[in-house]
Amino acid sequence: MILIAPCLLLSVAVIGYPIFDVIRMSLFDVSRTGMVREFAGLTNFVKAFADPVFLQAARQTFVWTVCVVGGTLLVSVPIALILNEDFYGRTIARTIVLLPWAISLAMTAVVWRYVVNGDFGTLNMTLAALGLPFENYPWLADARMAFVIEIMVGILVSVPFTVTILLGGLTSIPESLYEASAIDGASSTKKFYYITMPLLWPFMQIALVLNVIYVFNSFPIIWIMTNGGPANRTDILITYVYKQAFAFGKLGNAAAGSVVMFAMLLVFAVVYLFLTKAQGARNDV
Amino acid sequence: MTAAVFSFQMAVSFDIHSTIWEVLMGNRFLAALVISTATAAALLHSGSAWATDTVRVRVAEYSAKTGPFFQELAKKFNAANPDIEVQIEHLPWPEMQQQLVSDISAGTAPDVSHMATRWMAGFAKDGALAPIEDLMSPAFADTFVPTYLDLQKQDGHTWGLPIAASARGLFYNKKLFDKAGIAKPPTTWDETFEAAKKIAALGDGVYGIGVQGRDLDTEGYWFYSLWTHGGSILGPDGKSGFASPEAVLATNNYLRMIKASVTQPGVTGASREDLQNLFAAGKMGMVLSGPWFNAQLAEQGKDVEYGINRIPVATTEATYGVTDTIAVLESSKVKPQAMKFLEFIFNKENRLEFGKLEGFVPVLKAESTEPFFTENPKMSVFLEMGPLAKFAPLFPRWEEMADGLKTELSRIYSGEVSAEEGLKQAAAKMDAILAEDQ
Repeated sequence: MILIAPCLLLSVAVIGYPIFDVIRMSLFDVSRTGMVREFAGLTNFVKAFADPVFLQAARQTFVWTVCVVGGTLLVSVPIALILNEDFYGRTIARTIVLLPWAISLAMTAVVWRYVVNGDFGTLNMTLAALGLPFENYPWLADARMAFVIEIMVGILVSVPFTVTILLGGLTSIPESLYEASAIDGASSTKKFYYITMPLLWPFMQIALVLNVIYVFNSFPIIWIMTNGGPANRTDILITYVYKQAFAFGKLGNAAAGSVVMFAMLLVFAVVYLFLTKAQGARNDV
Repeated sequence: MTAAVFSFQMAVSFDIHSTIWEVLMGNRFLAALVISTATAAALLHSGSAWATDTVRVRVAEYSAKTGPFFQELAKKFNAANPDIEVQIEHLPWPEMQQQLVSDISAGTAPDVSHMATRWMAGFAKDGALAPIEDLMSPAFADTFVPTYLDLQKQDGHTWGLPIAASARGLFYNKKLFDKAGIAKPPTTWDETFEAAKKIAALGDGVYGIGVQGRDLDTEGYWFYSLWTHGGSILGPDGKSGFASPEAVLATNNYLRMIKASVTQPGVTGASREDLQNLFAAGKMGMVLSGPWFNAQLAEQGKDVEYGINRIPVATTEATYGVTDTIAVLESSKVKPQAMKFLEFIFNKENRLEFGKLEGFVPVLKAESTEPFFTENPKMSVFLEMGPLAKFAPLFPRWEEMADGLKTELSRIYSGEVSAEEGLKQAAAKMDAILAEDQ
């Protein structure tokens, strides 16, 4: 205990203090330059919840997180299974799958914004070259379409990390299990159901939780591609909070929004812990 | 914005934290670090025989040349004033506002900072800026074009100096006009609509006129139409003018163009840069823009032959005037020295060099008669329009009002709501903010 005390203190200071500070700001009237004025009680929260754009952003954050995380897992499991097989050129394939991880998110977003540009984008050039009527189709002009594209980019950049976790999980499954099941005459479908899935499940859970936390707070893709527009229809909470703070100078409102976000993730984490604990208890029987 | 967010690295959470949370949570540690390094740097600098006062000046980049230009000015100034040392920091525009807010709250603000005049009111209201009317000599104040200096005044104080000013005009592609058989550039909105139709009819992926629907200055593009239809941002009753009959007419003016498909497709997805890129590629007949666009065309649109005309009119001649401000911060300990440097950058010779470099309209009376501005057809129209310029109001919460307007314009341009309905919403939002702030 004595030995870890300095570490603990540093952690509390570095992690705890900012959280304390943002909660404090959310309860006070704060000027645009961060001067804390008088105590405001829950005014900032009331104002946030009275803002239809905040509620809309909250809904969109939910859609964004569920679609990106769900999509990522759906895509990553088959990719991980394929990359776990021994085939010629596997190393190259693995490298290619992991490449998006090496590029900064902001850069990825900038590149995709150009790819889907109506008049000069490579996407429309390709489609037009195939004889399809997309010479100048404005992909980002329609909020729904723009959001779908952003979600796809979100999935693309989340896959490498998720595949890495799942590959780690797959390599940890002992080969002898498959050999034993083969002797018992199990088909490959059964092998997948009764051996791969249960043993891979804990790793999928890790991927799910970490992805939810990252994606929920992910700022650059949406900020760069659509800036939350058209008409706030692609805003998520993080872009909403950023605008409140730095475009409108409402730091109190932004702090309240941040506290709400923090609370949401906290609830998610607690529920997750509770569920896994319950599961762990069942498995012990 | 750097580093990936989804990756399993510290950089990740740090990325988000260092952009938003740091400020929201007022990272005092970082502030302390910055202060200590700044102090160390200051100590290292003061090794000379003179007791020098360091003046930190922050400028925003209009182009790649802005930073070096001010570095050069500081070098000259420092050589002539051994007791003052000016240090220039330059940042890209999109980072300015957030950086300034963070620095002021952390107590690490520069002595002098560049900003959009729109932000000035908010900063002044919060006591972050120093009033400069007593710092500058009346003779110096008298060198400015009054319109532009007056815009920096509020509540009886002058909060800064107009470091850049621009008016807007109609850029038109001469080749496309010839091809479409249009004899002369349009002066009214009806003529503009007719011309846009003829150009759009050429086919070949060419658009008649650009209409902007997203990001920076979207509301400005709408003001062109609003003011030339006789509308105003603030009505005579002190309430929002967003939903006035003139404003509805002004919006329908653009809507008819969108519906007739004479604009670029997907107005709600088109930013100012998108429109300028289309014009520079020779794919657009007309676009409304400012003097900075000349510089872009000189580089990227070499084969586009273009002319610049006044903003088309329905009932009233008008243009959108925008200034940027350079202000002294209240926290500065070297205000007189800061003012001395400001007087230096605003002498005629330095201003003229800046004007030629960045292509802005003159803010000094002495500059206005320079042949560079008066005899250059690509500049003179902006100069002529100067007296007709109208400006965005200096409300501390103007950004929010403009954002509400932008949202509604998005919905109107995409055909989701009628002009009347959308503008009513935007006006209601503006009125609510006005009422809250009184």
